[in-house]
Amino acid sequence: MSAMRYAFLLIALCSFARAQEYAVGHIPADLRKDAFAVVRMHQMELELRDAGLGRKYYTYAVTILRKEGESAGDFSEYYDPQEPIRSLQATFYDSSGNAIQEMKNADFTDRALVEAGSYGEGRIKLLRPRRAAYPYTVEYTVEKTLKGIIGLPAWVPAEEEYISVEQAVLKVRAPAGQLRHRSFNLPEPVQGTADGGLETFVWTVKNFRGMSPEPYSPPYYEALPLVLLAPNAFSYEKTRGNMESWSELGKWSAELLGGRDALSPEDLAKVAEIRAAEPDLMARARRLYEYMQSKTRYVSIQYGIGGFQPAPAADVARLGYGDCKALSNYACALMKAGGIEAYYTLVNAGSSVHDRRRVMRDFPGNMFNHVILCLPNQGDTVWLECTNQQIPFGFLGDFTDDRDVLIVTPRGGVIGHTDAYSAEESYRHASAEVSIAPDGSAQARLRTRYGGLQYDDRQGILHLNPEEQRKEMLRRINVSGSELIGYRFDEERGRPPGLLEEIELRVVRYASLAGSRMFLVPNFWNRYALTLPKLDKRRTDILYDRPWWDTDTVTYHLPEGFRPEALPPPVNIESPFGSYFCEVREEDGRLIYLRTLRRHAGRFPPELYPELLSFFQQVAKADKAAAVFVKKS
Amino acid sequence: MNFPCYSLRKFLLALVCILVVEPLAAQKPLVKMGSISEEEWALTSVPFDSSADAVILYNYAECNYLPGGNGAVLVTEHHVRIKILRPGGLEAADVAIPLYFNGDATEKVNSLKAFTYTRGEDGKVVETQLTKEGKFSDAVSDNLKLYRFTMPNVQPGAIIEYRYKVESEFIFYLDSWYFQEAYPVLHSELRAHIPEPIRFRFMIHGSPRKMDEQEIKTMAASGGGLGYPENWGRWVMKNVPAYREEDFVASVENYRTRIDFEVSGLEIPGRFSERYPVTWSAIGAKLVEDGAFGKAMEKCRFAEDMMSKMKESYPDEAERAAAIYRMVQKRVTWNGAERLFASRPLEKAWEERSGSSAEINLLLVVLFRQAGLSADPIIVRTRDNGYITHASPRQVNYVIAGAVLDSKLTFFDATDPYLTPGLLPIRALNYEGIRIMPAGVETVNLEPKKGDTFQSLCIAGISEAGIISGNLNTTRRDYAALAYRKAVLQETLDKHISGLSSRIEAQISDYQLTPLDSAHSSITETFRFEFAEGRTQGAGDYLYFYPLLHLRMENNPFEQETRQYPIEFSTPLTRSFTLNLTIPPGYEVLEQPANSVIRLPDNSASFTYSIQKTEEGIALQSQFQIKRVAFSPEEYSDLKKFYAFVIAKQGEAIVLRKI
Repeated sequence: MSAMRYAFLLIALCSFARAQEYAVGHIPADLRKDAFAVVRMHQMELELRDAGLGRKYYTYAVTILRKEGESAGDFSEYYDPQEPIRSLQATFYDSSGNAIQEMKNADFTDRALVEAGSYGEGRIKLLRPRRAAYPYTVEYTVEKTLKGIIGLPAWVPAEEEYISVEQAVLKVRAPAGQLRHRSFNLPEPVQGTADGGLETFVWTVKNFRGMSPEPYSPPYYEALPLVLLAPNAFSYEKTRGNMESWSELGKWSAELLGGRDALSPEDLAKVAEIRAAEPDLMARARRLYEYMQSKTRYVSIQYGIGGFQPAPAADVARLGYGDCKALSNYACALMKAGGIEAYYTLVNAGSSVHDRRRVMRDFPGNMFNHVILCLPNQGDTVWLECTNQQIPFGFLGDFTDDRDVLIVTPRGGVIGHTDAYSAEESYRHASAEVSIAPDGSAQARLRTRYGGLQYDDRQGILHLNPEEQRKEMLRRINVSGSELIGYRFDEERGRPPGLLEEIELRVVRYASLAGSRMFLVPNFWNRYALTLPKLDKRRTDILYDRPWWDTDTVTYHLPEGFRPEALPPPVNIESPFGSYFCEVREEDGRLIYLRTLRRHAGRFPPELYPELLSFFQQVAKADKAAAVFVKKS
Repeated sequence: MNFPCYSLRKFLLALVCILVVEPLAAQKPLVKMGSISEEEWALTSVPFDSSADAVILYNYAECNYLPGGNGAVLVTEHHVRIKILRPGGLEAADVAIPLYFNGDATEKVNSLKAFTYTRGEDGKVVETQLTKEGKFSDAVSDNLKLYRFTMPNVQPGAIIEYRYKVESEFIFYLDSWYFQEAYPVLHSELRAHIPEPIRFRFMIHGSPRKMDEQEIKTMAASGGGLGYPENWGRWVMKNVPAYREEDFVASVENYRTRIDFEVSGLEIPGRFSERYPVTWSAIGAKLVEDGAFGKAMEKCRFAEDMMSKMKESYPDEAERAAAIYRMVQKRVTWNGAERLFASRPLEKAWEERSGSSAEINLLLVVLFRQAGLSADPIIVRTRDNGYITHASPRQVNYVIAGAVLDSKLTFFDATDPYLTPGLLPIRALNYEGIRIMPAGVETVNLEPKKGDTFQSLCIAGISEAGIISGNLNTTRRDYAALAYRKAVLQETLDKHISGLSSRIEAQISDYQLTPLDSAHSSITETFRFEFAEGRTQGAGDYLYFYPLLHLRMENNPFEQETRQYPIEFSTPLTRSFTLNLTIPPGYEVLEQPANSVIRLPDNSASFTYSIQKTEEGIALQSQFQIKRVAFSPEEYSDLKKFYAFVIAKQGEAIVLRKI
């Protein structure tokens, strides 16, 4: 048999095998139920040749059952010079599993990842197939070279958690002792050996039924199949490291920092001046931090090793900009020159629980996407976000709070943990005086203090221009018919910071009139109206770890002659999820409204979900209850 | 796609033959690089735009045709000076210059010089030059590169200044010049030197604003140019406020003040002469002859037999059109491309079951015609590009179909499978289009006559405990039906019902939604409900509730204080609600909101609210309508008050008392 015929036979066999695989009839009935699309095959093969070279090959096939599922067949793949795409192909199959069309690399859309103020080499290959005849299957095959290894891709076979997966396979080959793995919600891998002393691991998932996302669910690795991989020895752009331990990974980072902390003579003079003026270490650190903020702005620049190595401190000073690495390194250099102990610190930033819990203490790996600065300050650690010119000294918002971080010291990496905000710290204390006119219009003075994460949420308004500030004010007040008369802010930039906001407002028709009666909702501008989906049966625990606390006191001055006919009854709710109290009472012709809402942090069993819904509903109901007044005739 | 591509090579050859090459005389810049005035240093806010985060002190460009490339290149020299006033203005320090390319022509940047100036308290000016570490070039896509740079040493108070040239081989595409930018501009100036052989016209668009200076004259050949006498123009605007992003705006392009150029012909006496179409009738005639438009339709004959059968099966023209429309909608999926020209034969779209807007809708016109209907393509500009301002092939990028049914022109767009005859997708609703008939054109009004219509009828009772329950029957029509059907099909019916139940806070049973699965102009939803407690409030012998129930409008989309641009709705809106409510025995209606009717001038928006006592309780009729799709900025305050009135009225309660 000639080689060509042999090859032909192979191809014919392959496509026959695939025709079998991708026939729609082969999808198990329970995966098809209610589905718009089903992932047929999600296979990743990863091969590490040595510390700095590897290959990634994967196949992703999805059957689109209905038009509404077509976006499940959309494809995108990132690449850059360290991680180039070697081959890329899409094959379409009809409902019987026969190949009907092929698309090659050149048929994919190729785009640079361009964003204002962000510069790098990242590009993306995209395909958005749209076909009129359903069902059809699209299969993508991608081969990438890994020229330099730091992180290895996590394997998440059910990426879209509500899409079912018929079969998913992860195959890994690596030199013995080179690779660590950690799997979640999966059976142990099948282990073996291959030629050249390679170890092999294979994980398989079959007939994974997609699940609906649930609000307040724990990190995805608790429920979904996931494999984390990390190399031991690694090499990237001529640097070599080892991440068997956090300490070793930290050493590699420390080496990248080496010699990049030299300051310009101008900066050295400035540091000396501040040092002389501020004997108190933290007062000095604050001045140095503010000096850094005043000189810089954030610009993201990621080329090659520059994705991990900061630009030298002197360059940041000269150019006045840098990315998180460059700005943190610059701030670190200023601190050290000023006699303050400071460490460059790697963090996985992001506000979701998945971001906060991504770093696993007992599985060292490159799980970071951001850099901050750590000042040990004799046990009272100060964390500094260096990419924001406005943030007060020592404040971290929800982008980097409450999570494990890797502190890079010259002796190696050390795990630390950033501060969490307690309910007491994340407060919003509001008081208001509201005068109601006989026509129902209101004149209101609102005075509100914000702290912690509620300060974080609010402080951005300080740095907007006056026009945007007014717009944002009206959006936040969210009382229909509001006219802003005036406002002022007073920011307390200490540790912890706070914000006092005073607003004067007129509302065209706050109270509504019906004959001789007047209706008024005593909760002026802090009504809780979050609706959660009803779930037949909740699967996951309920995790809430960002507690907060609101208090409201509103005093209403009522128009002459109106007396209360019906006041909402006091409400007092104690629930595992929070506590709520509100009360309306009349006092010398004034109406006083008091309210406290506290959300507790905690982890609760899924059975309590109806209780969470009920808590939200009761609060929403009490918040919108009206008081009724009648005019004395 | 040969239509907008002029006989470039021929013309360039003609130009080259008589090129007079002379050294280029230095262009005198109006403002010298680095010559910052004391006023500019002192400026901390902009009197006519007090919210500015940055101010463009000077924005200058000068276009010249110079020898180069295949004969001539279009060189535009830019000079920009910006002062950063607040941290929000630091974004001005990142600059991106788009450079287009295709197989025939490219654009490039050269001679970039850029500086940041800062002045210390001692009055000493520090000058930092942009070096190559701050310059980046990215090939973004198949036809676009971005040349980008980020300025060094920028802080609030700093002034950045840069000059560069863009050398373009697309010599018939003079970029529009925007006088209005994201920051206010103190001085914006464009100069253009256009050699006489290139005939052009220019148009000023956007918010009405007077040109502060304008000169147009003919000049003798300048040294270094192409050796022809030139038409020379100069346009200046001063103190132009920033454009704003506002809600309810179809496209900010409609309002940014700018000047557009259009090449109308090429003429070298005795050597070369060509005129380009500058009227819709001339453009229409070219389109009819174009291989990617009219000729593509002529060549598409695969369905002739099928269509003659359709003609027999559907003697009624409207039914025939609807059937063919359904056929194309089901058969061919839109690939997302908004196109005026087909890029392959139309039957390919049919065979491969996928195509661009041009392929799908030209195909639809062909099938209509072959089935004996009078149908034509209608060319439009998609909504987010701004509306058509003048006759030019560059003004249109999309095509829909129109068929004459019952002597009325009905619109079709088969790119969206849920659309019914007469309904266009929002992207095509852009005021007007041009109907391209075999012999002639006409401008057609695309303003939607059908709207987003929602009618709900509720028969309910209220228990002594204050629980409201009953039946709800809601019909959504046209755009409302389209949106609802799409949303429901995105989830399972169970999920939809459970979501609805959470949103309106009611138990739902006997749910029906028909017809769900295909394009119909309406969709009707019926169900039994029981609202959770909280829909009413009670105290002693009284019960209070808001009679609009779950349909009460609580947020005014027009809370903002001022309005710069017209308010544009995509379609007219109707929200009607009829309630027949039985009150518990032994109760009476003590207070009820007064009946009222409010209308905006010329009835462009109206709200009627009428409530009556009945034997069983009360009957309410409420109707909210926006009948006109565009309102002027002067009408903003009326519209805002109109919404506020509606919200207040719907916030009035009914009081029941136990007798």
